[in-house]
Amino acid sequence: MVFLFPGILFRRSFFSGEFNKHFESGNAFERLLWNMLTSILMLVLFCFCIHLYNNSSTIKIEFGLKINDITDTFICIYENKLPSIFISETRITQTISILLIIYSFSVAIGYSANRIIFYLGLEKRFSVFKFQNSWNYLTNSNKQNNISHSFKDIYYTKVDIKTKTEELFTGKLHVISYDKESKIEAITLQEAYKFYRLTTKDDSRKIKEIRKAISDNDPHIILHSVSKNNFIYRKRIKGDLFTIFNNDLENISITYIKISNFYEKFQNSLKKIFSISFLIVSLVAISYSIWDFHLIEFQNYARRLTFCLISPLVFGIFILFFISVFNFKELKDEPKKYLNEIKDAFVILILFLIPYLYVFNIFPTKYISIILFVYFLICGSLLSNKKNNSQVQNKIDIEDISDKKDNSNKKEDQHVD
Amino acid sequence: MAKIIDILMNNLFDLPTKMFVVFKLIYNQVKTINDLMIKSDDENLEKLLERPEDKVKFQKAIDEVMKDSISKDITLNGKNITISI
Repeated sequence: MVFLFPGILFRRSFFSGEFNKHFESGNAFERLLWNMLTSILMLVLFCFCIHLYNNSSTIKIEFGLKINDITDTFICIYENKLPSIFISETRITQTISILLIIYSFSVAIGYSANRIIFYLGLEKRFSVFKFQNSWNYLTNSNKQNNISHSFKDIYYTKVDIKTKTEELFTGKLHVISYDKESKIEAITLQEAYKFYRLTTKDDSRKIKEIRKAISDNDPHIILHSVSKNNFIYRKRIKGDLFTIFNNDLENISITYIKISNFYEKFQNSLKKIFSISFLIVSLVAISYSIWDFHLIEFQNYARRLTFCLISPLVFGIFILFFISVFNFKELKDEPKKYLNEIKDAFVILILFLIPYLYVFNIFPTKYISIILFVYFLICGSLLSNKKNNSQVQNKIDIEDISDKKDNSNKKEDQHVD
Repeated sequence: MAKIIDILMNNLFDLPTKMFVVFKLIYNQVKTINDLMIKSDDENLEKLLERPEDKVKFQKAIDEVMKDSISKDITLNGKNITISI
Protein backbone atom coordinates (compact mmCIF):
# COMPACT_ATOMS: atom_id res chain seq x y z
CA MET A 1 0.00 0.00 0.00
CA VAL A 2 2.88 2.35 0.91
CA PHE A 3 4.26 1.99 -2.62
CA LEU A 4 0.82 2.56 -4.19
CA PHE A 5 0.49 6.04 -2.70
CA PRO A 6 2.84 7.82 -5.16
CA GLY A 7 0.54 6.72 -8.00
CA ILE A 8 -2.63 7.75 -6.12
CA LEU A 9 -1.11 11.12 -5.21
CA PHE A 10 0.12 11.70 -8.75
CA ARG A 11 -3.30 10.92 -10.24
CA ARG A 12 -5.12 13.00 -7.59
CA SER A 13 -2.99 16.08 -8.27
CA PHE A 14 -2.96 15.49 -12.04
CA PHE A 15 -6.75 15.19 -12.18
CA SER A 16 -7.46 18.38 -10.25
CA GLY A 17 -9.11 21.58 -11.39
CA GLU A 18 -10.30 21.32 -14.99
CA PHE A 19 -9.67 17.56 -15.15
CA ASN A 20 -11.33 16.71 -11.83
CA LYS A 21 -14.03 14.52 -13.40
CA HIS A 22 -11.42 12.20 -14.87
CA PHE A 23 -10.14 10.94 -11.51
CA GLU A 24 -13.03 8.55 -10.90
CA SER A 25 -13.46 7.46 -14.51
CA GLY A 26 -13.21 3.75 -15.31
CA ASN A 27 -14.03 0.80 -13.04
CA ALA A 28 -12.26 0.02 -9.75
CA PHE A 29 -9.93 -2.58 -11.29
CA GLU A 30 -8.91 -0.20 -14.08
CA ARG A 31 -8.17 2.55 -11.53
CA LEU A 32 -6.10 0.12 -9.43
CA LEU A 33 -4.02 -0.80 -12.48
CA TRP A 34 -3.52 2.88 -13.32
CA ASN A 35 -2.44 3.58 -9.74
CA MET A 36 0.09 0.72 -9.83
CA LEU A 37 1.47 1.81 -13.18
CA THR A 38 1.82 5.46 -12.17
CA SER A 39 3.39 4.40 -8.83
CA ILE A 40 6.07 2.43 -10.65
CA LEU A 41 6.58 5.35 -13.05
CA MET A 42 6.91 7.82 -10.17
CA LEU A 43 9.44 5.63 -8.31
CA VAL A 44 11.51 5.12 -11.48
CA LEU A 45 11.37 8.85 -12.31
CA PHE A 46 12.35 9.77 -8.75
CA CYS A 47 15.35 7.39 -8.78
CA PHE A 48 16.33 8.69 -12.24
CA CYS A 49 16.21 12.34 -11.06
CA ILE A 50 18.32 11.60 -7.99
CA HIS A 51 20.79 9.59 -10.11
CA LEU A 52 20.99 12.46 -12.63
CA TYR A 53 21.58 15.01 -9.86
CA ASN A 54 24.23 12.87 -8.14
CA ASN A 55 26.08 12.41 -11.43
CA SER A 56 26.06 16.11 -12.31
CA SER A 57 26.69 17.58 -8.85
CA THR A 58 29.63 17.28 -6.51
CA ILE A 59 27.25 17.13 -3.55
CA LYS A 60 25.48 13.78 -3.44
CA ILE A 61 21.97 13.11 -2.17
CA GLU A 62 21.93 9.86 -0.18
CA PHE A 63 19.02 8.40 1.71
CA GLY A 64 20.85 5.53 3.44
CA LEU A 65 18.42 3.02 1.91
CA LYS A 66 20.00 0.21 -0.05
CA ILE A 67 18.50 -2.35 -2.45
CA ASN A 68 19.06 -5.06 0.20
CA ASP A 69 16.88 -3.07 2.63
CA ILE A 70 14.02 -2.92 0.11
CA THR A 71 14.17 -6.64 -0.77
CA ASP A 72 14.49 -7.48 2.92
CA THR A 73 11.38 -5.37 3.63
CA PHE A 74 9.38 -7.24 0.98
CA ILE A 75 10.53 -10.61 2.36
CA CYS A 76 9.62 -9.55 5.92
CA ILE A 77 6.15 -8.36 4.78
CA TYR A 78 5.66 -11.70 2.93
CA GLU A 79 6.70 -13.64 6.06
CA ASN A 80 4.52 -11.43 8.26
CA LYS A 81 7.50 -10.13 10.25
CA LEU A 82 8.51 -6.60 11.26
CA PRO A 83 10.83 -5.18 8.52
CA SER A 84 14.41 -4.53 9.60
CA ILE A 85 14.16 -0.84 8.55
CA PHE A 86 11.77 -0.31 11.48
CA ILE A 87 14.18 -1.63 14.10
CA SER A 88 16.08 1.52 15.10
CA GLU A 89 14.77 5.04 15.59
CA THR A 90 17.13 6.55 12.99
CA ARG A 91 16.08 3.98 10.37
CA ILE A 92 12.40 4.77 11.01
CA THR A 93 13.07 8.53 10.60
CA GLN A 94 15.05 7.84 7.43
CA THR A 95 12.27 5.68 5.98
CA ILE A 96 9.54 8.21 6.83
CA SER A 97 11.54 11.08 5.33
CA ILE A 98 12.22 9.20 2.07
CA LEU A 99 8.53 8.27 1.78
CA LEU A 100 7.48 11.90 2.35
CA ILE A 101 9.98 13.05 -0.29
CA ILE A 102 8.64 10.52 -2.83
CA TYR A 103 5.03 11.55 -2.07
CA SER A 104 5.84 15.27 -2.40
CA PHE A 105 7.69 14.53 -5.64
CA SER A 106 4.63 12.69 -7.04
CA VAL A 107 2.27 15.56 -6.08
CA ALA A 108 4.62 18.14 -7.61
CA ILE A 109 5.02 16.19 -10.87
CA GLY A 110 1.24 15.55 -11.10
CA TYR A 111 0.32 19.18 -10.45
CA SER A 112 2.93 20.62 -12.84
CA ALA A 113 1.87 18.17 -15.59
CA ASN A 114 -1.77 19.25 -15.06
CA ARG A 115 -0.89 22.95 -15.26
CA ILE A 116 1.35 22.58 -18.34
CA ILE A 117 -1.36 20.62 -20.20
CA PHE A 118 -3.92 23.29 -19.23
CA TYR A 119 -1.66 26.24 -20.16
CA LEU A 120 -0.85 24.76 -23.56
CA GLY A 121 -4.47 23.66 -24.13
CA LEU A 122 -3.33 20.08 -24.87
CA GLU A 123 -6.52 18.57 -23.42
CA LYS A 124 -8.46 20.17 -26.29
CA ARG A 125 -6.00 18.91 -28.89
CA PHE A 126 -5.11 15.30 -28.01
CA SER A 127 -7.54 12.47 -27.35
CA VAL A 128 -5.18 10.88 -24.79
CA PHE A 129 -6.38 13.50 -22.27
CA LYS A 130 -10.03 12.72 -23.06
CA PHE A 131 -12.60 12.13 -20.33
CA GLN A 132 -14.18 8.71 -20.02
CA ASN A 133 -17.72 10.03 -20.48
CA SER A 134 -18.22 11.51 -23.93
CA TRP A 135 -20.85 13.96 -22.65
CA ASN A 136 -18.10 15.84 -20.80
CA TYR A 137 -16.62 16.77 -24.17
CA LEU A 138 -19.74 18.62 -25.20
CA THR A 139 -19.42 21.14 -22.38
CA ASN A 140 -16.42 22.76 -24.10
CA SER A 141 -15.49 23.30 -27.72
CA ASN A 142 -12.51 21.30 -28.98
CA LYS A 143 -11.11 19.95 -32.24
CA GLN A 144 -13.19 16.75 -31.99
CA ASN A 145 -16.64 18.36 -31.67
CA ASN A 146 -16.12 21.66 -33.49
CA ILE A 147 -14.40 21.67 -36.89
CA SER A 148 -13.85 25.43 -36.83
CA HIS A 149 -12.22 25.28 -33.36
CA SER A 150 -9.25 27.60 -33.11
CA PHE A 151 -6.82 27.52 -30.16
CA LYS A 152 -6.33 31.26 -29.97
CA ASP A 153 -10.07 31.95 -29.45
CA ILE A 154 -12.36 31.40 -26.48
CA TYR A 155 -15.74 29.66 -26.64
CA TYR A 156 -19.17 30.10 -25.07
CA THR A 157 -21.22 26.91 -25.02
CA LYS A 158 -24.84 27.84 -25.71
CA VAL A 159 -27.43 25.17 -25.16
CA ASP A 160 -31.12 25.09 -26.18
CA ILE A 161 -33.25 22.54 -24.36
CA LYS A 162 -36.74 21.41 -25.31
CA THR A 163 -38.68 19.69 -22.55
CA LYS A 164 -41.40 17.07 -22.83
CA THR A 165 -43.94 19.75 -21.88
CA GLU A 166 -42.98 21.69 -25.07
CA GLU A 167 -41.09 24.37 -23.14
CA LEU A 168 -37.90 25.83 -24.58
CA PHE A 169 -34.94 27.00 -22.49
CA THR A 170 -31.62 28.49 -23.47
CA GLY A 171 -28.45 29.47 -21.63
CA LYS A 172 -24.79 28.77 -21.09
CA LEU A 173 -24.04 25.12 -20.44
CA HIS A 174 -22.66 24.88 -16.90
CA VAL A 175 -22.46 21.18 -16.11
CA ILE A 176 -23.90 17.81 -17.09
CA SER A 177 -24.51 15.60 -14.04
CA TYR A 178 -24.51 11.79 -14.22
CA ASP A 179 -25.78 8.99 -12.06
CA LYS A 180 -23.63 6.01 -10.98
CA GLU A 181 -24.19 4.29 -14.32
CA SER A 182 -22.84 7.36 -16.20
CA LYS A 183 -26.30 8.24 -17.54
CA ILE A 184 -27.35 11.89 -17.66
CA GLU A 185 -29.15 12.86 -14.48
CA ALA A 186 -29.56 16.59 -15.07
CA ILE A 187 -28.30 19.52 -17.11
CA THR A 188 -27.47 22.78 -15.41
CA LEU A 189 -27.56 26.11 -17.21
CA GLN A 190 -26.06 29.48 -16.33
CA GLU A 191 -27.79 32.70 -17.41
CA ALA A 192 -30.88 30.69 -18.32
CA TYR A 193 -33.76 32.12 -20.37
CA LYS A 194 -37.22 30.68 -21.07
CA PHE A 195 -38.90 31.24 -24.43
CA TYR A 196 -42.50 32.45 -24.60
CA ARG A 197 -44.69 32.42 -27.72
CA LEU A 198 -47.64 34.82 -27.95
CA THR A 199 -50.22 35.01 -30.73
CA THR A 200 -50.84 38.45 -32.20
CA LYS A 201 -54.56 37.88 -32.31
CA ASP A 202 -55.22 36.73 -28.72
CA ASP A 203 -52.36 38.28 -26.74
CA SER A 204 -52.24 41.82 -28.13
CA ARG A 205 -52.38 43.37 -24.65
CA LYS A 206 -49.58 41.21 -23.33
CA ILE A 207 -47.50 41.93 -26.47
CA LYS A 208 -47.92 45.65 -25.81
CA GLU A 209 -46.62 45.21 -22.26
CA ILE A 210 -43.62 43.19 -23.45
CA ARG A 211 -42.82 45.72 -26.17
CA LYS A 212 -42.94 48.49 -23.56
CA ALA A 213 -40.59 46.54 -21.26
CA ILE A 214 -38.17 46.00 -24.17
CA SER A 215 -38.26 49.70 -25.12
CA ASP A 216 -37.62 50.54 -21.43
CA ASN A 217 -34.41 48.44 -21.68
CA ASP A 218 -35.59 45.76 -19.23
CA PRO A 219 -32.46 43.54 -18.95
CA HIS A 220 -34.56 40.43 -18.26
CA ILE A 221 -36.54 40.40 -21.52
CA ILE A 222 -35.08 39.88 -25.01
CA LEU A 223 -37.13 39.91 -28.19
CA HIS A 224 -36.53 36.77 -30.24
CA SER A 225 -38.71 37.09 -33.37
CA VAL A 226 -41.92 38.64 -34.67
CA SER A 227 -44.00 37.16 -37.46
CA LYS A 228 -47.49 37.80 -38.79
CA ASN A 229 -49.12 35.51 -36.22
CA ASN A 230 -46.52 35.04 -33.50
CA PHE A 231 -44.54 37.17 -31.11
CA ILE A 232 -41.65 35.24 -29.49
CA TYR A 233 -39.56 36.59 -26.65
CA ARG A 234 -37.35 35.14 -23.94
CA LYS A 235 -37.31 35.99 -20.29
CA ARG A 236 -34.38 35.57 -17.88
CA ILE A 237 -34.95 32.93 -15.19
CA LYS A 238 -34.01 34.37 -11.81
CA GLY A 239 -31.07 32.76 -10.00
CA ASP A 240 -27.53 31.82 -10.96
CA LEU A 241 -28.06 28.22 -12.02
CA PHE A 242 -31.08 26.49 -13.57
CA THR A 243 -31.29 22.69 -13.62
CA ILE A 244 -33.42 20.52 -15.89
CA PHE A 245 -33.70 16.87 -14.90
CA ASN A 246 -33.33 14.03 -17.38
CA ASN A 247 -36.96 12.87 -17.18
CA ASP A 248 -38.07 16.31 -18.49
CA LEU A 249 -35.66 16.38 -21.44
CA GLU A 250 -36.93 15.99 -24.99
CA ASN A 251 -33.86 17.12 -26.95
CA ILE A 252 -30.78 19.33 -26.66
CA SER A 253 -29.07 21.58 -29.16
CA ILE A 254 -25.51 22.75 -28.47
CA THR A 255 -23.85 25.70 -30.22
CA TYR A 256 -20.29 26.87 -29.67
CA ILE A 257 -20.07 30.65 -29.95
CA LYS A 258 -16.59 31.66 -31.01
CA ILE A 259 -15.19 34.81 -29.40
CA SER A 260 -12.28 36.06 -31.49
CA ASN A 261 -9.84 38.91 -30.89
CA PHE A 262 -10.05 38.34 -27.14
CA TYR A 263 -6.29 38.22 -26.98
CA GLU A 264 -4.16 40.73 -28.82
CA LYS A 265 -1.36 39.58 -31.12
CA PHE A 266 1.24 37.48 -29.24
CA GLN A 267 -0.66 38.02 -25.96
CA ASN A 268 -1.70 34.37 -25.72
CA SER A 269 1.83 33.09 -26.39
CA LEU A 270 3.24 35.57 -23.90
CA LYS A 271 0.74 34.39 -21.28
CA LYS A 272 1.67 30.75 -21.93
CA ILE A 273 5.40 31.47 -21.57
CA PHE A 274 4.83 33.49 -18.39
CA SER A 275 2.49 30.89 -16.82
CA ILE A 276 4.92 28.02 -17.42
CA SER A 277 7.97 30.03 -16.27
CA PHE A 278 6.15 31.20 -13.13
CA LEU A 279 5.08 27.60 -12.39
CA ILE A 280 8.66 26.32 -12.77
CA VAL A 281 10.09 29.12 -10.59
CA SER A 282 7.44 28.49 -7.91
CA LEU A 283 8.02 24.72 -7.94
CA VAL A 284 11.81 25.12 -7.74
CA ALA A 285 11.36 27.64 -4.88
CA ILE A 286 9.03 25.30 -2.94
CA SER A 287 11.35 22.30 -3.50
CA TYR A 288 14.41 24.32 -2.53
CA SER A 289 12.74 25.44 0.69
CA ILE A 290 12.17 21.75 1.60
CA TRP A 291 15.39 20.19 0.28
CA ASP A 292 18.73 21.91 0.12
CA PHE A 293 20.14 21.33 -3.38
CA HIS A 294 23.24 23.37 -2.43
CA LEU A 295 22.73 25.59 -5.50
CA ILE A 296 23.54 28.64 -3.38
CA GLU A 297 25.26 28.46 -0.01
CA PHE A 298 23.09 30.08 2.68
CA GLN A 299 24.23 30.77 6.23
CA ASN A 300 21.08 29.29 7.75
CA TYR A 301 17.64 27.89 6.91
CA ALA A 302 15.84 31.21 7.57
CA ARG A 303 17.84 32.88 4.78
CA ARG A 304 17.11 30.02 2.37
CA LEU A 305 13.39 30.14 3.24
CA THR A 306 13.27 33.94 2.72
CA PHE A 307 14.98 33.47 -0.64
CA CYS A 308 12.42 30.81 -1.66
CA LEU A 309 9.47 32.93 -0.50
CA ILE A 310 10.39 36.15 -2.27
CA SER A 311 11.98 34.78 -5.45
CA PRO A 312 8.71 33.83 -7.29
CA LEU A 313 7.26 37.27 -6.48
CA VAL A 314 10.44 39.06 -7.59
CA PHE A 315 10.35 37.03 -10.79
CA GLY A 316 6.69 38.02 -11.41
CA ILE A 317 7.27 41.70 -10.69
CA PHE A 318 10.42 41.73 -12.80
CA ILE A 319 8.45 40.31 -15.77
CA LEU A 320 5.75 42.92 -15.12
CA PHE A 321 8.38 45.67 -15.14
CA PHE A 322 9.81 44.24 -18.36
CA ILE A 323 6.35 44.17 -20.01
CA SER A 324 5.61 47.73 -18.81
CA VAL A 325 8.88 49.01 -20.35
CA PHE A 326 8.21 47.36 -23.72
CA ASN A 327 4.53 48.34 -23.87
CA PHE A 328 5.10 50.81 -26.73
CA LYS A 329 1.40 50.83 -27.65
CA GLU A 330 0.56 52.42 -24.29
CA LEU A 331 3.50 54.82 -24.64
CA LYS A 332 1.87 56.11 -27.83
CA ASP A 333 -1.72 56.22 -26.52
CA GLU A 334 -1.32 57.12 -22.83
CA PRO A 335 2.27 58.17 -21.97
CA LYS A 336 1.29 59.22 -18.44
CA LYS A 337 -0.19 55.79 -17.66
CA TYR A 338 2.84 54.12 -19.25
CA LEU A 339 5.25 56.01 -16.97
CA ASN A 340 3.10 55.35 -13.89
CA GLU A 341 3.03 51.61 -14.58
CA ILE A 342 6.82 51.49 -14.98
CA LYS A 343 7.28 53.54 -11.82
CA ASP A 344 4.90 51.33 -9.77
CA ALA A 345 6.57 48.11 -10.96
CA PHE A 346 10.03 49.58 -10.26
CA VAL A 347 9.12 50.81 -6.75
CA ILE A 348 7.68 47.42 -5.79
CA LEU A 349 10.57 45.54 -7.42
CA ILE A 350 13.07 47.49 -5.28
CA LEU A 351 10.92 46.83 -2.19
CA PHE A 352 11.01 43.09 -2.84
CA LEU A 353 14.74 43.15 -3.63
CA ILE A 354 15.64 44.58 -0.19
CA PRO A 355 15.23 41.17 1.59
CA TYR A 356 18.05 39.85 -0.65
CA LEU A 357 20.41 42.06 1.41
CA TYR A 358 19.53 39.79 4.33
CA VAL A 359 19.50 36.56 2.28
CA PHE A 360 23.04 37.09 0.93
CA ASN A 361 24.27 38.70 4.15
CA ILE A 362 25.23 42.00 2.47
CA PHE A 363 24.10 44.09 5.45
CA PRO A 364 23.66 43.12 9.12
CA THR A 365 20.10 41.91 9.85
CA LYS A 366 19.23 44.80 12.20
CA TYR A 367 19.91 47.38 9.46
CA ILE A 368 17.85 45.52 6.86
CA SER A 369 14.61 45.99 8.79
CA ILE A 370 15.42 49.73 9.17
CA ILE A 371 16.17 50.03 5.42
CA LEU A 372 12.94 48.20 4.62
CA PHE A 373 10.91 50.42 6.95
CA VAL A 374 12.48 53.66 5.65
CA TYR A 375 11.98 52.60 2.02
CA PHE A 376 8.38 51.69 2.84
CA LEU A 377 7.82 55.18 4.27
CA ILE A 378 9.52 56.90 1.31
CA CYS A 379 7.34 54.93 -1.11
CA GLY A 380 4.26 55.80 0.94
CA SER A 381 5.16 59.52 1.02
CA LEU A 382 5.86 59.67 -2.72
CA LEU A 383 2.75 57.79 -3.68
CA SER A 384 0.42 59.49 -1.17
CA ASN A 385 1.74 62.90 -2.34
CA LYS A 386 0.92 61.88 -5.89
CA LYS A 387 -2.54 60.87 -4.71
CA ASN A 388 -2.99 64.14 -2.81
CA ASN A 389 -1.79 66.13 -5.82
CA SER A 390 -4.27 64.38 -8.07
CA GLN A 391 -7.03 64.97 -5.50
CA VAL A 392 -6.11 68.66 -5.33
CA GLN A 393 -6.08 68.81 -9.13
CA ASN A 394 -9.54 67.18 -9.22
CA LYS A 395 -10.76 69.69 -6.63
CA ILE A 396 -9.42 72.57 -8.71
CA ASP A 397 -11.06 71.14 -11.82
CA ILE A 398 -14.39 70.80 -10.02
CA GLU A 399 -14.10 74.38 -8.69
CA ASP A 400 -13.30 75.60 -12.21
CA ILE A 401 -16.35 73.86 -13.58
CA SER A 402 -18.62 75.22 -10.81
CA ASP A 403 -17.21 78.74 -11.36
CA LYS A 404 -17.86 78.45 -15.07
CA LYS A 405 -21.39 77.19 -14.32
CA ASP A 406 -22.04 80.11 -11.94
CA ASN A 407 -20.79 82.58 -14.56
CA SER A 408 -22.95 81.06 -17.27
CA ASN A 409 -25.99 81.09 -14.91
CA LYS A 410 -25.34 84.78 -14.15
CA LYS A 411 -25.08 85.53 -17.86
CA GLU A 412 -28.36 83.69 -18.48
CA ASP A 413 -30.04 85.67 -15.67
CA GLN A 414 -28.80 88.95 -17.17
CA HIS A 415 -30.09 87.84 -20.53
CA VAL A 416 -33.53 87.10 -19.08
CA ASP A 417 -33.61 90.49 -17.35
CA MET B 1 12.44 73.11 16.13
CA ALA B 2 8.69 73.43 16.43
CA LYS B 3 8.44 73.09 12.68
CA ILE B 4 10.49 69.85 12.69
CA ILE B 5 8.32 68.42 15.46
CA ASP B 6 5.26 69.46 13.50
CA ILE B 7 6.54 67.68 10.35
CA LEU B 8 7.45 64.58 12.39
CA MET B 9 4.03 64.48 14.06
CA ASN B 10 2.29 64.94 10.71
CA ASN B 11 4.33 62.10 9.20
CA LEU B 12 3.61 59.90 12.19
CA PHE B 13 -0.14 60.47 11.92
CA ASP B 14 0.05 59.85 8.16
CA LEU B 15 1.86 56.55 8.69
CA PRO B 16 -1.23 54.26 8.37
CA THR B 17 -2.32 56.07 5.18
CA LYS B 18 1.16 55.76 3.66
CA MET B 19 1.37 52.08 4.60
CA PHE B 20 -2.06 51.49 3.13
CA VAL B 21 -1.00 53.12 -0.16
CA VAL B 22 2.07 50.84 -0.41
CA PHE B 23 0.07 47.72 0.50
CA LYS B 24 -2.52 48.63 -2.11
CA LEU B 25 0.22 49.01 -4.71
CA ILE B 26 1.67 45.60 -3.77
CA TYR B 27 -1.84 44.09 -3.99
CA ASN B 28 -2.37 45.64 -7.44
CA GLN B 29 0.96 44.29 -8.65
CA VAL B 30 0.15 40.76 -7.41
CA LYS B 31 -3.28 41.04 -9.08
CA THR B 32 -1.59 42.04 -12.34
CA ILE B 33 0.74 39.04 -12.06
CA ASN B 34 -2.36 36.84 -11.67
CA ASP B 35 -3.93 38.48 -14.74
CA LEU B 36 -0.86 37.44 -16.74
CA MET B 37 -1.56 33.75 -16.10
CA ILE B 38 -3.54 31.65 -18.60
CA LYS B 39 -7.21 31.44 -17.61
CA SER B 40 -9.92 28.99 -18.60
CA ASP B 41 -12.61 30.06 -21.10
CA ASP B 42 -15.14 30.31 -18.26
CA GLU B 43 -12.93 32.67 -16.24
CA ASN B 44 -12.32 34.83 -19.32
CA LEU B 45 -16.04 34.94 -20.10
CA GLU B 46 -16.85 35.84 -16.50
CA LYS B 47 -14.54 38.84 -16.74
CA LEU B 48 -15.97 39.83 -20.11
CA LEU B 49 -19.60 39.62 -18.94
CA GLU B 50 -19.23 41.26 -15.54
CA ARG B 51 -21.86 43.96 -16.10
CA PRO B 52 -25.58 43.11 -16.62
CA GLU B 53 -25.84 45.43 -19.66
CA ASP B 54 -22.95 43.55 -21.30
CA LYS B 55 -24.75 40.24 -20.68
CA VAL B 56 -27.86 41.48 -22.53
CA LYS B 57 -25.73 42.96 -25.31
CA PHE B 58 -23.95 39.63 -25.69
CA GLN B 59 -27.23 37.65 -25.78
CA LYS B 60 -28.65 39.96 -28.47
CA ALA B 61 -25.45 39.64 -30.50
CA ILE B 62 -25.64 35.82 -30.24
CA ASP B 63 -29.23 35.93 -31.55
CA GLU B 64 -28.16 38.07 -34.52
CA VAL B 65 -25.18 35.85 -35.27
CA MET B 66 -27.29 32.68 -35.11
CA LYS B 67 -30.12 34.09 -37.24
CA ASP B 68 -27.95 35.39 -40.05
CA SER B 69 -24.86 33.15 -39.67
CA ILE B 70 -22.60 36.17 -39.65
CA SER B 71 -19.81 37.42 -37.43
CA LYS B 72 -20.42 40.50 -35.31
CA ASP B 73 -18.10 42.99 -33.64
CA ILE B 74 -19.13 44.16 -30.18
CA THR B 75 -17.52 45.88 -27.22
CA LEU B 76 -17.90 44.09 -23.90
CA ASN B 77 -16.38 45.46 -20.70
CA GLY B 78 -14.29 47.88 -22.78
CA LYS B 79 -12.87 45.11 -24.98
CA ASN B 80 -13.56 44.88 -28.72
CA ILE B 81 -14.34 41.29 -29.69
CA THR B 82 -15.80 39.43 -32.65
CA ILE B 83 -18.40 36.72 -32.17
CA SER B 84 -19.28 34.04 -34.69
CA ILE B 85 -20.40 30.41 -34.84
